[in-house]
Amino acid sequence: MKTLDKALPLKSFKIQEITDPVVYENLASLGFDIGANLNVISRLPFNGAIACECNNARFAIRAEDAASIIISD
Amino acid sequence: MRYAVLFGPPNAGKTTLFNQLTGRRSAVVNYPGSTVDISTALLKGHESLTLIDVPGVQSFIPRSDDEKLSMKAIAQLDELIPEAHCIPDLVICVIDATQRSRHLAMTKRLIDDGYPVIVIISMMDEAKKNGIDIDHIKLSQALGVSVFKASRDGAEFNHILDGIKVNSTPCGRITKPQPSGLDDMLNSYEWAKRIMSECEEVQDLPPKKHFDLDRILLHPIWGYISFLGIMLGFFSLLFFAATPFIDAIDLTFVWGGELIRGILPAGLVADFIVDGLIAGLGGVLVFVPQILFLFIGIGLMEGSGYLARSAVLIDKPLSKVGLNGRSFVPLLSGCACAIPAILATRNIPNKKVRFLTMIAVPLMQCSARLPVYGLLLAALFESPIHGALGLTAIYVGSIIFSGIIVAIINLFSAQKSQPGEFIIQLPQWRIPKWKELLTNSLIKTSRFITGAGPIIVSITVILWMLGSVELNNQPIINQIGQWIEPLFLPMGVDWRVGVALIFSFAAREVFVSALIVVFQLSDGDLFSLTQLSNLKIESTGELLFTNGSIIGLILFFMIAMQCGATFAVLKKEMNNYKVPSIIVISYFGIAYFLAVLENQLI
Repeated sequence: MKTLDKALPLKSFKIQEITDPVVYENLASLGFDIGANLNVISRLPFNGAIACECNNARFAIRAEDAASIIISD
Repeated sequence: MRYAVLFGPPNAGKTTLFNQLTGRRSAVVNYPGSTVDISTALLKGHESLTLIDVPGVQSFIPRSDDEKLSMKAIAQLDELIPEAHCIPDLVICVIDATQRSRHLAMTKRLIDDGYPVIVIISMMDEAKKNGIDIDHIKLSQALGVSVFKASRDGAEFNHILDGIKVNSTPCGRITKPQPSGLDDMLNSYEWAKRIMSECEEVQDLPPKKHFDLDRILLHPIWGYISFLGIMLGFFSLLFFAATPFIDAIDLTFVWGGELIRGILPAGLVADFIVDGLIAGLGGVLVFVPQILFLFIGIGLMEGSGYLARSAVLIDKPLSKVGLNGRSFVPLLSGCACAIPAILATRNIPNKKVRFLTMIAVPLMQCSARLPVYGLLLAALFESPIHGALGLTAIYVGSIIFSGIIVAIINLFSAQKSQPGEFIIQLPQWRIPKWKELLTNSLIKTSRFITGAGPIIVSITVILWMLGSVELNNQPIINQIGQWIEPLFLPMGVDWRVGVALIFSFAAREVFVSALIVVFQLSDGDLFSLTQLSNLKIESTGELLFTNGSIIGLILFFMIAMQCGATFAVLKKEMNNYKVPSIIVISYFGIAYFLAVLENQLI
């Protein structure tokens, strides 16, 4: 089981599950749902934010929040 | 009067449309959540219809105060505008063509609830560049409401204007929108995807080769190096690019003063106009180019989309003191003015983070302090490079200091601030429209001039009167000065600087003009910036502007100088006067202590 906070930059993944309901609600309001493909653009150092692209839109998420997003290759 | 509300997700282009449809010039910012308050204006050519621009909402589950305000605008409009009905006469749903499915989802709920709705698909020019077109007639049939297309250049403006006029009819029975759950939200997205797939035409364009700026500007190393470079470049610009304009304005005021002195008969009136009004106003207005460049720099970051990237970069360091990335935008806005910056905190959903951000904002160095720093740094450093570095140090120092203050408050707070979740949409990169950028910057600069001008003139008149009227064979201002001097001597300055400091509580930039007027009154010689280093304390004969006293004054201005308007907005947003009073008094005490300590040590 891999979470988004551990994802390598410049790789593509699929969202499998979002365990934190608040994060899920936030992502859903931005239009991102389970099953969506996402590309990791960048991962900032010291457990910083992760910038992703999903459905032609970009968003950034703090690593602690990204830890609740389970992804698969 | 009828009321139409521009409603939609953040950064969908509502404010651009609002400006096009009303002729207003509200600042357009490429950052989600840039509008935090409602704006109203009459629709062009339709004097009985008011258009209302509201903050963007992500969903019908409002999180932040600005989102709650938008929900109120469509469900309880009469609470915001007493003359309006409970429900607006038209809801104009603005959806960004590049994010069409996602943005359309919210429209469904409004149509289902019986709201009078029209849909405007914005940013069609950007969608077309990507080979996407939308059959708006087909979409209109599918939704059962009128649909219009719009571009940033306003080409379809007349059709939209007619559409608003025709569709704004008093509405019938409506079910107010209820907060929706996650399932409702996801169902709406599925519905929107299906509808859009039937109405869009997507061309298979060859993939464009373009450089992805985010790969550099959000890079783990280059991102931070670029951030520091951009910030340093920004503050250097204030010094280097503005210098020729500053010199030109300075020369104009000197030339104008001499010209008027030559025309008017010598005496009190000529002295008051030339040495008081012209010198006082000129002392502040010479720094207007710096203020203009400050607004241009902030406008560039706002318009390009870099603001959201900066918030991402700085989220981690800010979260260590109890703030988060969303605090960055109000903090940066505070470099222009604390008032809109405090209002911008409405975009922060976490109440504790918002409170801490509001405490930090007054410590940011607003544009009104620039003339003061321009004067003091010019006295401290001969080289403009050192001046630019000094200014950067002031801004960086204020960020560090505000971080320390917020961390201390958070540490001793009964309820520790959790930085809250941080998920932020990154808007598309855009090249800012230069005309729009310059116009907005000029409007903000002219507001500074028109706001500061009357205060400077009034204070100059008061100071001149206090300096001219004698009591017991001594000008009143000297008597006041001697009375207050013991308070300011530990800072290394005499009563003349003290008087200027007291008057600058009315407006910070007044310090420069008040200083000029007080020195003209006491010395009688034409005061210029280059003379600062030769001035002496009257009572002791020691040099007045030493490195120690100048740095002390800078520290004092960095921390203490909160204007009355900042206090009023803090009181309104915090809904009490106790906390803002404690903030202002504490900042004054800390500033005075640090200025005295620094002067005694250096």
